[in-house]
Amino acid sequence: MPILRTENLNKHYDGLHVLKNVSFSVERGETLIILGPSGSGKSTLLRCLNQLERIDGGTIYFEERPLAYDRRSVYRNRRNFGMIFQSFNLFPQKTALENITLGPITVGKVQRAVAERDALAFLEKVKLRDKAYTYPAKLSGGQQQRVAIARALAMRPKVLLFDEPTSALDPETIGEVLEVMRKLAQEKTTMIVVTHELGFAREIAERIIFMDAGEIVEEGLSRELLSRPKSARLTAFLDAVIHK
Amino acid sequence: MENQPVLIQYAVFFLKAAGITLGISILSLLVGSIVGFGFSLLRISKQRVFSALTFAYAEIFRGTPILVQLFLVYFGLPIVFHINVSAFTTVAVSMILYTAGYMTEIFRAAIQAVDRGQWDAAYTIGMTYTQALFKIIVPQAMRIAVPPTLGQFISILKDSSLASIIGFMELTKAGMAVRAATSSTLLAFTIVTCLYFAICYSLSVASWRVELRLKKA
Repeated sequence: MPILRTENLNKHYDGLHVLKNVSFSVERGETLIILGPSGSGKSTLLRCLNQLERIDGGTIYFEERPLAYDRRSVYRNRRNFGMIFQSFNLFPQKTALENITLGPITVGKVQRAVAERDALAFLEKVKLRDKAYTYPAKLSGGQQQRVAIARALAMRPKVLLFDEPTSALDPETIGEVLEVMRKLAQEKTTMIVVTHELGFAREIAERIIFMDAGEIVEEGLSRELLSRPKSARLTAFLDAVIHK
Repeated sequence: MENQPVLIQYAVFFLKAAGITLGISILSLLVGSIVGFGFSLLRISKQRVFSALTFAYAEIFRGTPILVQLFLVYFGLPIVFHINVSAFTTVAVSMILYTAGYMTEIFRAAIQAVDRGQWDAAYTIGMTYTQALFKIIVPQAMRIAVPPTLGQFISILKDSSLASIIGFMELTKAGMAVRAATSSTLLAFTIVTCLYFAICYSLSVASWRVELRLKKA
């Protein structure tokens, strides 16, 4: 039984058809990579899954139950997902630790002391235990993104959504973020990752989806799809990314 | 030197008047900010009625001269409600309503200036709209709102001189009174000008400092 499945998702944005009949599924414990040129609808797709965006047509099934769009259901469904953004989106007025404990305390009703102990463990996991009391502005991009991962993990989501997590990073800090993601993949965390890191995709993903202009163009096992693309669009995309 | 006590009398008179100008301005900024903050939340709400009403409110009060608003309250209330309002009540009510219009817009702009990603992040850790607004967005918006609020304070302080026209004894009216009593027009209004400038310039300096500190933090 897939943990997450979509059926013919459609979305329009200012007259633009940004998602066209998108259907796919993710198994529990799987790492699914979504590739595609910018503007292909990858981010929008992720944002529809945790209902930051509404869909105009189709159905999303979480654990085989279709998502509802009343306010309570939306808030409940969002807690199934953790999301990591391209631009980190840490809360600037809060320390790394407070960024992580805020959700458990205000949303999860966890006691502060418990939430803090947990948060320190998550910081340990992303190797930033020593930055617990540092504000985001004093952290490098890679460090901020690792705090963001810890913040997402602290809510104990069932699926992690990564929206180009390394695209805004300096090359030298990309590795430390991928390292954390690799570890999560090995621990069988269910992840959907939008990325341009082909090497990383090949290494950790079983399956890859290639999107272009709002539709899924190709879908397959990562090795096959990357080494023997069937469509001209994927071939062109891979050429462009590799020769960038 | 025989008229020294008179000079002191006038000095006290001017300083008191300056105090009233400052006081009425602080009052309208405080109450206007509270009202304006509430209105700004309605202004950004998805409930069309609330956002339309607060939009109309802000545009009407920002789109008409405060002097006309003063006249409307001063001459209008007695006609419509058959109540006589004192000059103080007129000035306080008008300046509060006027400031609230501006503060609605300042807070609205500040809230909307907070990065969209902050809402996304708040929502993805499971927060409701209200939690995201008050725990994440408003604290950041407040910082953004500080410089324009101080600007608004300076501007309302200068606008308060219009209250002299309906006879409210603030700094400008004090200048007019002294001019009438002593017939030294130039001196009276030079003093008034200096006092306004001293207050406004101090506020400007304070606001530069605050901006600098906000930038550093």
